[in-house]
Order: sequence, then C-alpha cells, then structure tokens
Amino acid sequence: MASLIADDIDFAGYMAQTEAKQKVRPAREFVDEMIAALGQPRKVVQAFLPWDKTHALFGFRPGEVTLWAGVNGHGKSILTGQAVLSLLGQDHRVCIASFEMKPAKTLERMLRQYSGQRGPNEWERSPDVIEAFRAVYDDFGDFTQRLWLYDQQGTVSAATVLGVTRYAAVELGCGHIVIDSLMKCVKGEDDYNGQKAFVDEIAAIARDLNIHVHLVHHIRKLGSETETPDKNDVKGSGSITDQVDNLLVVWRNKKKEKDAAAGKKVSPDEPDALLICDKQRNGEWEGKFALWFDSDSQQFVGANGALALDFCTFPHRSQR
Amino acid sequence: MIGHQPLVAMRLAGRRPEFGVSIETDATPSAYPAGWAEFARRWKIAPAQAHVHIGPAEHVPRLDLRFCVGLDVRVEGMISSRVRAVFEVCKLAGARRVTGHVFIPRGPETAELVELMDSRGAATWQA
Repeated sequence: MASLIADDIDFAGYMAQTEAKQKVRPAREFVDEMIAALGQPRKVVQAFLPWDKTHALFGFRPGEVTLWAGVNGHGKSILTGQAVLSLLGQDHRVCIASFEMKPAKTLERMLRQYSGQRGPNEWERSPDVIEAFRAVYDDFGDFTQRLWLYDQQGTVSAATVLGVTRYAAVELGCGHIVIDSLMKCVKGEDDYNGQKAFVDEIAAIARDLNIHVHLVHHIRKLGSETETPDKNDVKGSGSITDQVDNLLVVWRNKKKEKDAAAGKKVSPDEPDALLICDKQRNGEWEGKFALWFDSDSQQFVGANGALALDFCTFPHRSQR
Repeated sequence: MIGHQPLVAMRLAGRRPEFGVSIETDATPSAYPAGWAEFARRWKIAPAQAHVHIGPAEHVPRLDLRFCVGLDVRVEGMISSRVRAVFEVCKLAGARRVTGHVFIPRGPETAELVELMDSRGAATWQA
C-alpha cells in the first residue's frame, strides 16, 4: 500500500546548506514581483470592525492573527462579542473558544447586543412581552447559524486549542476563530517559551488555512487610570506582539465613569473607550478609535449619542 | 503557497510521501482548502502524495520549492508559461524528476492535456 516511506535524503542538512542561497535574493527579483503585481486585481476577502469610520483604516485579512489586548474589566469580551456579531453580519463563519465564559453567557450578552435591549424584567413578563422577545430570540437563532462555540472553561492544553482551531477552519469552514484567552492556553504568565510557541503555531495555522485568528490577551495594570496602554504593556513574552499581525488595545475611560458617578460634570464628547490599533502589519494606519458605550444594548457605538447598530445589514445601520 | 509546510515538517522528520508531490498552479486548489495534510488527518491515512498549491498572484522565481529535492514532482495548470516557470524552479531545487502538465478545460468536468514537459525528456510533448 502506498504510504510514507523513509526519506533517502538528509533533508535537514540540505535545507541548512541551501538556506543562504535560497533566502539572499537579488533586488531585481523583488522589483520583477512588483512589476508582475501591477494592474493585477487585488481580491482580498477582508472583514471589518463594526463601525463605519474604521472601514477605510483597519481590516481583518485572511491568514493573519489579531491580538485583542486590554486590562481586566476594560471590555475586551464585550468588544470581541460585538466584533463577532459584525463578522456574522458580513457573512463570515465564526467559532468562539472562550475559556473564561460559558457559551450560554457569551450568547446571552451577544443577544443583548444584537437586540439592542435587555431581556424582560420580572414585572414585564406578560404574554405579549414574552412573545415579542421570543420573536427576537428566534431571529437571533437564525442570525447565529454561522456561529460555533467551543464548550470548555478553564485552562486547556495548547495542542487542544490548536486542534479546535484546525477543526473549526477545515470542517466547519470558519474564517474567523476567537480564542479567549491566550493565558488559558499556556502554563502561566511566566511561561514565555510556551507563549511564543503557541502564538507561532496559531500564526502558522492562520497562514496555512487562510483564516483570521482573534487572540484575546491581558495587559498589565497601568500606573494611572488616565494612562492609555500600548504594545509595551502587553503581558508576557515580548514575542507575542512581534508575531501577531495586528494589535488592538481596548482601553476604558474609567476616570470619566468615576467622575460621572460622583456627580461631576463630564463632557459627553469625551469617549467612553478607545480602541487603539498599535500594529497593523499589512495596513498603513495605526491610531485610536473613540467609542461610546450604550448601556441598554451593551454595545460600543462610534459617536456620542449614536444608536445601537443593527448587525443584520452591512455596513451596519442604526437600530430604530 | 499552501500545503508545503506539512511536507517540510515530514521530511525534517525523515519521512517522505512515496509518490512525491503534486503542485497545482491554478487559481483554486482542487483538494481541501487546507490541503493534503488535513485530508490525510481527517481520513486517518498516510498520504502517498503531497499536494501544494501556488496562488495565481505568487511570484514563482521567489518561491522556496526546496521541499522538492529528491522527489518526483508533478506540476500542473492551465497556463503554459506558469507551469514552465514552476517546472524550472523544481528542477533547480533538485527534484528527482519533474513533469509538467498543461490542461485546457473542455467542459464542466473535462480538461484536455495540451502540453507535457519532462525533465528527463522522455515524455515531452505538445498538442
């Protein structure tokens, strides 16, 4: 039976011996490549963040890894949940592997973001209200037909996560995989080699399977609440930010929240959060998107006073 | 290019597919999007031939095709010049034998072989 056989060549030796010859290339070859690319249509299936104002500046490209980083409690999961809803609205298939939140809880929050409102209170549960919510839940069920959730909490082995990623991409055809979070896939914060190896593997899978992996990760606590983090504040090995293609840092304006709670005057134009793009390997733009939080829908919106987004259309219009 | 990394890993581990590697140069890979290695994993088989796909926008002279060394390589596609370019790079990479196959589609599931290249010269032919 045909199968694998023993190699009759010292392949590792051959690769080492020819490495320099293969990798050191005349500049002319690169120029030829640029000439060949001239006039070629660029067919990149790109996916976008939920907000219109970001579309020309940032995109999720196939074959890439985006690191979503933020301090605990700054809204990483809310934002990634909203991003997933947007991806579904853009006709992408998505798998969420959250080791920090149960699938039902993840879906409950996404349902609220999708519907733009909280569920019925105890005193509101008349048959009419229940029926109206049932219709919304049904719509949400249809909307999430392209969504899968990996049901596992707590720490998992890196090999298992890599297997799940492959399975979701190959068997389910998912173009976007969300892994929440990196620290649950390695031995600990000081397991630098494990972090490096895991991100390296994830990047290879994204490239080989032409998918986009969204990796959620933590940022160290900052000195003050007004300080906005950057790539140097990402926890763990420095190789994490080196290896990923994009870095999105989530920062919540806690000072504004505290001032408002204390009855101090706050400017409504001051954003509730920033989504900071601190790296975009294949894009030209890096900078900050200002966001405002809509507590009813648990959505971040792109402008002060803007209505929650309707994910069934793309670009997303406001819900009415 | 996709599909080459599992082959490189396999060869670094001292194994190779008995029937070498098939390289497709057309726009869409005919096998699994993830390639032959995923196919083999899914069906729990030992792959007899590796499959590598080179995308239409990839610049052939800069591709690293060293995974071909010592293997029988079959290059196929619908653009003669592109098949020829990959064929030449495979020869330079030390493939044992390279054959190039140029097809023209003649129907929904039919293609006609219009050109054959052979690094050993035995099967070189053009319609």
